[in-house]
Amino acid sequence: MEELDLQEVKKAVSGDRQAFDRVITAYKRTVASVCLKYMRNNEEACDMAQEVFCKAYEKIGSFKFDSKLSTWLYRVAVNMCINRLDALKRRKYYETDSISADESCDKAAVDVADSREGQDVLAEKNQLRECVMEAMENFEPAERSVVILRDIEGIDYDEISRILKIPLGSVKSKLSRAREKLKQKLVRKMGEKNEL
Amino acid sequence: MSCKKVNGLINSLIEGNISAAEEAEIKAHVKTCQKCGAEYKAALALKNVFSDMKEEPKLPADFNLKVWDRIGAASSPSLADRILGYIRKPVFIAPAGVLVAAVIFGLFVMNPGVVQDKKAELASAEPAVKTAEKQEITKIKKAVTYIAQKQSEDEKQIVSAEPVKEDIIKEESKDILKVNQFAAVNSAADEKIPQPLKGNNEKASAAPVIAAADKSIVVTPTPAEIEVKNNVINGVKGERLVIKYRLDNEGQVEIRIYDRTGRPVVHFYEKKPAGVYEFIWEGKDDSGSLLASGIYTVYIKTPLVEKKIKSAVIR
Repeated sequence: MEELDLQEVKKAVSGDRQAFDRVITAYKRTVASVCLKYMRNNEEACDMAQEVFCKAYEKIGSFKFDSKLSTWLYRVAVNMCINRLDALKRRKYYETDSISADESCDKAAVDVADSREGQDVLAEKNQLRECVMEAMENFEPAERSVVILRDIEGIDYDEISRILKIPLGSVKSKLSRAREKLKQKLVRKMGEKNEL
Repeated sequence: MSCKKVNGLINSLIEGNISAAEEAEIKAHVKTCQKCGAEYKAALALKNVFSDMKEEPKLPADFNLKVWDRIGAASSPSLADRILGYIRKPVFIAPAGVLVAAVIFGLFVMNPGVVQDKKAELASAEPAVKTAEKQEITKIKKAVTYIAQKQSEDEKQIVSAEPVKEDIIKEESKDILKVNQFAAVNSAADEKIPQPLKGNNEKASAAPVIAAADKSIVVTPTPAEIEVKNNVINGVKGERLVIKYRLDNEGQVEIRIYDRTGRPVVHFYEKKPAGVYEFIWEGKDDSGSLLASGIYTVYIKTPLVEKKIKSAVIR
């Protein structure tokens, strides 16, 4: 991801609307990508990304230039997504909330059974993906964020540490713990499938 | 290769930083170790899942416009907002706190006169009439005490010398004369004293009447504005709270008694002529039922005074 020119950022911080429009153009894909990993729905992710830029416009005056603008935008996006998901969970509007990870996997298994031969590989991939995503929903916010930012978005550890404002060691330990949980989940699921 | 080492390499596999030689070692190990084999398969699956999840969002062409729509017609943040935002920074909070503390310290600790001035101001807010009235009452009380003292001394002399009482009255001391002069001068004030306080009116039982040498001058002390007797009462035993109050002129008297929850249990409103009266409470509410044990607040308001008194009811 290319960083915006510092002069442009300064203009945006000082309230220049055109400069802020260039900020939107430069970072909208990055921000929407992170939102998509959290929201798991393209439409909601776009909606969330727009809200992130609204918030950023409102708060950009407090940007202190002690990190990259992208780091700051990531932080805003991550915090807003976590808050939105928490709110949705509380209101029980989140459609997958009522379906546990195991139920979801069973549902996927039925889909696999119904699928035609040749689509088995794709169905299995979907099944595993669904299992991983459902498991991640039960992670604490920092653990989930570490997995999304490192293993899916591919952001380096130092940057993640700055985005989440947690020590580098904590980033690594949280990531290791989260990966182990996910791996064990897949070991169990794949073991069950082999037994069938 | 040990299972522990293979497990470490499997974790590195998810991260993506593993060499081909190391992967070959893992593959060789998992052929003989079923547990590590399952872990290896799961790690590969997890890596694939993460890879699949790296999908790109499909953004609408008018994304920027939608953002600006949401921001609305709001212009760039105003200068006032920016100044406020700047002041709210933590760097400024501590100095601001110190400044406020310094101002308070300077005003009230280093210059206590300010506080005293305020107190004096508040005290002077009391109605001037009331202050004058109090001074008058104090003077009269002093005079009465002095006369009583002198009379008792004179009575002792009477017992010893057996003179005629009237003579003694004629030979009154200069001090008594002085008091009488004072009473004469203040006769206007005396006239203000309500009629029930004078003479043999029963209502004025608390006011001792002392006649000086000149019988036309009657120095009558006024009772305190409110007297409370027995504010711990046992209603069952018939004990009573007595509040004695005075009215200089005709006026409205309001007495309410509240329980600890603030609920009024007794109401008394009455317009009364000038005089001294007693309000008696036997620990009963308006309906005449005995109240539970506890602390009650008696609120009394007359044209002269407004006061709250605590009373305890025990059973």
